[in-house]
Amino acid sequence: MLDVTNAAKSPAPAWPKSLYATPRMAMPAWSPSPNETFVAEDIMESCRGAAQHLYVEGLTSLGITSSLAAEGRTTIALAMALVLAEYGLNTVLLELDLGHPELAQRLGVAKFPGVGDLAEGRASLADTMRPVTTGLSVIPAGQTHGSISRALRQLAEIDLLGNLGNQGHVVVADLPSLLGNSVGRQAASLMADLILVVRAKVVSVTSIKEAIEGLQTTPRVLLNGTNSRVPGWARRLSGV
Amino acid sequence: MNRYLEIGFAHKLLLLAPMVAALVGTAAFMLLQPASYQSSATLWVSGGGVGTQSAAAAQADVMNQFLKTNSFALTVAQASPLGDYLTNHPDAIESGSITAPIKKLLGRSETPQKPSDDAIRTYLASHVTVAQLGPSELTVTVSAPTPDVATGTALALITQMSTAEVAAKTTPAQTQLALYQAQLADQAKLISTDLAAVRDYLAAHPSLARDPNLAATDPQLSLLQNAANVAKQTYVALLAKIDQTQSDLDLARKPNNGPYRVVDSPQTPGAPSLGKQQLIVGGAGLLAGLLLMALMGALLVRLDTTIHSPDEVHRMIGLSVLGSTPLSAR
Repeated sequence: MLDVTNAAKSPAPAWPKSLYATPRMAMPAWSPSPNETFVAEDIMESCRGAAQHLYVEGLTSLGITSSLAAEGRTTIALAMALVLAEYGLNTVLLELDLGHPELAQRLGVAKFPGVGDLAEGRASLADTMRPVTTGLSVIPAGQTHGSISRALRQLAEIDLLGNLGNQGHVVVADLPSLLGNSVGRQAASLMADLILVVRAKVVSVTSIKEAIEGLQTTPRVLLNGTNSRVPGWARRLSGV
Repeated sequence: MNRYLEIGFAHKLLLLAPMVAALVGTAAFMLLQPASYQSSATLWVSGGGVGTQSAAAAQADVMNQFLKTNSFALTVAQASPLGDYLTNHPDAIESGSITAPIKKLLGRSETPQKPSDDAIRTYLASHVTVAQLGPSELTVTVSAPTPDVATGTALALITQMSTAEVAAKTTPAQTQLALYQAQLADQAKLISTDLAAVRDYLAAHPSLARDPNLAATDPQLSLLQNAANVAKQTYVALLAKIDQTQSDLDLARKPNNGPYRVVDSPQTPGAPSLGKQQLIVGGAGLLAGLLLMALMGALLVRLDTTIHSPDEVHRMIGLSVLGSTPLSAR
């Protein structure tokens, strides 16, 4: 088993004072085209815009959650991780949606070992981290033999996020949805900052209010899928 | 507005469903209605109008008034195939009612029975359209279940209309003629009486008969002769009036002097056409469909509690917005 504390060999880069002060073009490692392999460029562009509203200096862990399943959490989490990596942050994309893992397949990396294996003591942090692109590594869900709730408790006990932070990593976590399962809130409670992905025109306000009720951290909203269904001719006719 | 459009285009099928249902229902109702054939005639109205009303408009008013009378409708029905048709097809009278298509669907047929005068008038009034084409031109259109009934009814209608109008116009003259004739008979008696009085006076005074100079100076004889002459003149004047009235009546009764001239005679229609009632039903169905669609749209908007744009987020759930992605990331 590898030493968890020595997982990140390279020293953490200096964090930018703010994303506005860190032009993307000046970053030598930035290259937009490879990221499009994982996420469409317009979603990336939207997440770049969203990232400019984040308080980057204090950012340690950012959880991406949603009220219901299939609202676009995983894609947004991946896009946010790529955007933070573009800006030079040493980013780790952590898959905490242990019940529905899909990051490994999407990124083309090995599924195991991952978060579940780390939580249940079958692997070290270094075993689970897989580099994806410059400044970005991923820790996939892996295998969880026990209950997911227990695995999440164990992650809190070994202070995974604290360790990653100490190594200069910013964690972007793909969390389970808040409604429809018992671990959404538990996973969200591990994160310092939360983004609530809301699928525009699909999820009702009632569901969203129910989902955010009792959360320890007030999430900020990223509205997903706001493109209009109204054809151009109808917009021109109505003057909208 | 944008929210309405978004919801509308997101639920196109739900919005269109009531419209389609209304149109299908309307089409089914129209298909169950009996076929309608139309036969039209174009008439040229002679003479001037009444006040500011054109001749055609005045004539159309007259025609519509005739159509409201039982006697006229009955005459038209008897003079055309319409009367027989309505007797043999009593259900045709009910074709405007909602129960008629249902009875037709159930295959119920009724035995022949003579329709009432009111029923014939109502049927005729609802199947005849008088429309003004110009200041002196109008069309009379008859809708009927068969081509022959349509043409026959249109022909009978035009003929009876002219006859009825001529009769209406000549009635005062006929009354006047009868009065003159009665006066003439009275006057003839008066002449006889006056002449008899002259004869009696001369018989009583033979000297007057022998001496014209003496007769010319006799005041009583002059009085009697004057009375006889006045009676003769009145008789002659009455005769002249009777001749004039009779001449006027003959002129009014001539076919060329009717209220209108038929420019285009009614033709036998070759194919059924959409009747007035079917057009009304079709329009009502379309309107009902549009209304239902608008109601469905309003319901969908009312029931929609989703967030459509970033500026709605804080207002609806009280959270701040980081941004939005136009394309749906799944």
